[in-house]
Amino acid sequence: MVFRMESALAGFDLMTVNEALESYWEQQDLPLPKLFILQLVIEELVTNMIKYAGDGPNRWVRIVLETGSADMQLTLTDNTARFDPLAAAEPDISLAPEQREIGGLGLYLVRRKVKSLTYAYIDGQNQIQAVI
Amino acid sequence: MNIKKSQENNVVTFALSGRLDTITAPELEAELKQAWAAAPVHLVIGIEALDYISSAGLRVLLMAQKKVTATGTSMRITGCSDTIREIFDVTGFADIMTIE
Repeated sequence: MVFRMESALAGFDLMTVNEALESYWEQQDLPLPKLFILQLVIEELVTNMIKYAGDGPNRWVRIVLETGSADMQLTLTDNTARFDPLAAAEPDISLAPEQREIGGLGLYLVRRKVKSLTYAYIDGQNQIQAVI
Repeated sequence: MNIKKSQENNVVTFALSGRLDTITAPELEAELKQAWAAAPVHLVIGIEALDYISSAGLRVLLMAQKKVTATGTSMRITGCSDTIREIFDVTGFADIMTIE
């Protein structure tokens, strides 16, 4: 089965995406821990797109999730500026609280919570694939 | 997300339920800032009914931890579920915060 959703980045509504995923999860009777990871990955990656690449009028993101096997495959495609999440610097998580930087944890969490993550830039579009 | 707040002397207790994410983290940030506006306080953050946390929520908790460290007070996070504990573990928050 495939879940598919496309949205303009201007006014991207995380709550609508989450509700659509929750209803798909219920219909397909899928395991809840994977929903947590999936929602986390989508929130972190899309928030990052908007923060760094802008949410101009013609910017969009497409979410495609294949849930047919135990390893689910998420593909996020967007037409924002080229950005490779795998190349982002990792935060130092061993520092004391007063030294730790606020921020930078989103992509780190994504990298740690998925089974694999790949990035490609194809025909002017970023394509991130995550196995969950 | 729902936030219930109570205060006894210099201890402010928050009970969070629902989702602490990009949408709701600013609400908690505003509540925390209000809590320590008058004087340094100890914080207890109950997350027994919290279903979800993203980096936006972690950012607010780290900000609160920095604040209590700087003011010589304390912060306790209570009622942590296994799912959310995993997030605290991989981000190293479990090492710098009191999580029960």
